[in-house]
Amino acid sequence: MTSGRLVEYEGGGDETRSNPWLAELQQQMFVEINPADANNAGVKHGEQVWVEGPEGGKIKVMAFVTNRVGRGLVFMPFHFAGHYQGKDLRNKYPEGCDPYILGESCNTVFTYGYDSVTAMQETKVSLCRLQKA
Amino acid sequence: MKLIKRSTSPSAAHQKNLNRREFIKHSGLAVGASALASQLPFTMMEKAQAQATQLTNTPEIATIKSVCTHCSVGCGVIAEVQNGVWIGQEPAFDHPINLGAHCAKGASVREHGHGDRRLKYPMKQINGQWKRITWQQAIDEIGDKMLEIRQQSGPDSVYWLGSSKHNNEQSYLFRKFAAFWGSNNIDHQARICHSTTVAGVANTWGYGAMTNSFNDIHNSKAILIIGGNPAEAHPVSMQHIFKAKEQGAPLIVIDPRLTRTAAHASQHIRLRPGTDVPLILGMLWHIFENHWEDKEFIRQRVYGMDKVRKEVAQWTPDKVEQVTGVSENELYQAAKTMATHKPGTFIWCMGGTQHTIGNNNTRAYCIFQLALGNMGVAGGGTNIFRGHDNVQGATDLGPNAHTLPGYYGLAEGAWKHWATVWDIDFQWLSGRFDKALYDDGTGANKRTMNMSGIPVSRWIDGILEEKQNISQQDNIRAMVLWGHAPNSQTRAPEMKKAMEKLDLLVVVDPYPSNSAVLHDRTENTYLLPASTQFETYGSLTSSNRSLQWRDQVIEPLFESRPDHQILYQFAEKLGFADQMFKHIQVKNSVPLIEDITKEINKGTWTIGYTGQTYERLKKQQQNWHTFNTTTLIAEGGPCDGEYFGLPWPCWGTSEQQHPGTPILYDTTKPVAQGGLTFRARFGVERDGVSLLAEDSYSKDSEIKQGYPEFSADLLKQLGWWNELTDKEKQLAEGKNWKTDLSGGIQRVAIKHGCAPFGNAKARCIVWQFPDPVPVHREPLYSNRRDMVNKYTVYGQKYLTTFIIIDLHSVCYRMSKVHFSA
Ligand code: SF4
Repeated sequence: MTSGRLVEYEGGGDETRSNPWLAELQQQMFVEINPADANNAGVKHGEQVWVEGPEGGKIKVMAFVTNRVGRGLVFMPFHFAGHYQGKDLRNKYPEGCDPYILGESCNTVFTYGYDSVTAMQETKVSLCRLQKA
Repeated sequence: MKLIKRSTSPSAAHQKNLNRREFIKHSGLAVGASALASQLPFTMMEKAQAQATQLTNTPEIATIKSVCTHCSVGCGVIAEVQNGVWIGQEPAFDHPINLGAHCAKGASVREHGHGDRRLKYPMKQINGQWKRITWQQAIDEIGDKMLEIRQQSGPDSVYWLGSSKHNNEQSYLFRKFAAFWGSNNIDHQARICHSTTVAGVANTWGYGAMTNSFNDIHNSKAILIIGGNPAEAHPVSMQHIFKAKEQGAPLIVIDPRLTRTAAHASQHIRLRPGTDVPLILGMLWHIFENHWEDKEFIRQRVYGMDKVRKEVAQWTPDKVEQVTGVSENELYQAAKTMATHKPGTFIWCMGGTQHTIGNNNTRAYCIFQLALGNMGVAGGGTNIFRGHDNVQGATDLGPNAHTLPGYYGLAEGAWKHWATVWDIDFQWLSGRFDKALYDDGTGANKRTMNMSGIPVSRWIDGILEEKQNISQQDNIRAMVLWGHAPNSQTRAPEMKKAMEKLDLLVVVDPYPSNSAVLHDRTENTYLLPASTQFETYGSLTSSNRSLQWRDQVIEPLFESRPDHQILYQFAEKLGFADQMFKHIQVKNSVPLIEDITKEINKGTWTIGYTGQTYERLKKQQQNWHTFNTTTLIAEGGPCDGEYFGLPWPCWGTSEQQHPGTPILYDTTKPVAQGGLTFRARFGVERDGVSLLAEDSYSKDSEIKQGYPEFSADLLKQLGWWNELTDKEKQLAEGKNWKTDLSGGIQRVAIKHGCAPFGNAKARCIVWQFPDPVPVHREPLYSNRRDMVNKYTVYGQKYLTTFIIIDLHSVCYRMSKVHFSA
């Protein structure tokens, strides 16, 4: 699996997901899955799917079935937070300060691994298992 | 919760109870209109009255210049402010970088001036519930707890996680703050975005930054983007890429995913994630095979290409295909395109950097450009697009675990340099740190003052790891997350545990962030509302090393405060404000930004942050319309001859009026006009082979060969010492171009056409790194079992560069789970 950005959000996304103009444009955390992989997993576009990482984290997100990713690869944006392993944490924010859009953070499943010189984390390649939720 | 609105809303105007005669007068309606007015229903009359008041009684609309806070492209924003309320926004049409364009994020920044979902007051968790508290209570309680932890566990048990969202002045102040607190446990987002770029690139040719500019891409004859998706991450940069493309430059995008950028590509190559090195070496295989390399450039300006050739020889097309999944034909096409369309630019982002061998990837990219002779030329370069709006400036000046401002490092000399700039006794400063010695990971013992702190990617290990595995007195017990979203870091389940183990968790941010909700803490958790960059002012450094000045758009919203004010309050509480702000004016607990800019100018000689005074930056901001939109040079007007943003290095003191360096290592211009050589950073020879440039020098250089970096001694050897003034001589004696606070050494070197940092070759072999020549190693979690034993990860020995000693990485962590596919 790999991760990346969306035009509407920045970084961890708290600021931009709290901006109504941007929040309206991108309302759901998702995982891009190649049609062949989706079919093998029995998952349809728009359905909820569990993405499980090798170190025990798992997240429940919407399947975005698309040829943007090749077979054997899934992609997730990293701007979302506020859901954790299937649980919505909205009521834990101070009143009136919860971002409009919450979602699972892909880094709940991204794993250990650091550059040998700078301790950069390895967020552009890891492994996962997909399961229909 | 009740929002405190500062706006003068229509309902406020309403209360003024204008009578009907006044309404007609103000509304400008003529006599005949009164008849019409009398026929209107009462409710409509009310509304019309309110509007009429606004038209006549409210102040004029001010237009204020700022810069978008959402990425490092640095688009100009025009804010329209009336009566303290941000009522309108325009993209700056006359700004040389964005030329009137904004992406979705930039177009929505006015929302910051309203901030419905902002954190409004300091808050504290009591019994799991958020309660509003005062600033005074927050600072007192947090400060007392920190002082207690400091006493029990030493200063390294408090971690200060800073941000790329600070402006330059706040970033610098944040680094200074940690120094005065007495710990290097401080870091920010650059660690997890381009740290491997900075390390890889700086170790190849001197500086770790984007070499050219967005605008300079107009001059590119080919564009290669690997592991970058600027159409989404840096949208406005695409207009410069498109300009080159319209002029005929092919666009090659290498990415495992058909991104929105790849959708525009002339050629899109999908690689298996984590195989950048074999892919680049595979392209070099075709380049060497077809003799497309720039032999003269390599002879004059590159060290160690022969070693690269040996590594490249192994990467035959069939082997490359096996590892990367890219066919011989595809790669040959791409290599040929780059070799036959010169100069070409090479752009990369996180797809290349965020790997366990990120530093190998970034060096492979540099070597590719060196082989083609694409460095130091307009249209060429390694154009590394940075992320956050001020991640470049924060890297240069701010919260870093491994260095003081300006990449001076953490050795004693670096501390002494900054102690002099700060006018502080070095012994006093040293006394702020833990005095004990610890294993630095290489077997040597050092004080934590001279060791890199725990990097942001590993702070959770600083909390969870056994004490004896961490080279400091105790675990991290207090964590300050300042402008930092923890969901950008991996291993959230462990992070949750780590947060719950802390004695104290403090969040300083305009929004509560994931740090407020991820954990199940019930006490000792504080949220402090910080202001955004629109509620203060100061400078920032965009990706292309250009500095820009933001004016303040609005007053801090709700009870939020700007970062520099909050830092001052903490320094005061923790007892070192007088020393830290010795030369920085503070009014009502707000430090003066201009004084901080001055201090940056005073000390940051290494990367040329000395010439960009606030006066020059403000002048440029007022005249941003006078800059050429390709070369970025001002044509006429008050900034005539300067480059936009005085891109660093802007050498010497401001009296020298250096115009900034728009393209790094460009020998076709004199250094005084923005030209440069490769930096002599790695000594003058290696194994008997010279590392200095051969027959290559910048225009008008009086030394027509390679030369080492400038120092007082070198000036004396050259017979140039007496060109220093007496005052300069006093300060320059025994110093070099980085530590001479008079600027005289730089001034005299440049007067003779020389680069203060020397003239050397770029190097393809970084002998200090685990892999001196970049090689392939499989990702830690690889989907190719057949590859993992051939291209192994590092052993434990190399993973100890930071305080945490790594126990986990000797072998692959092959996953038990697999794709269900
Ligand atoms: S490209 Fe970057 S700087 Fe420009 S408007 Fe978009 S987010 Fe802001």
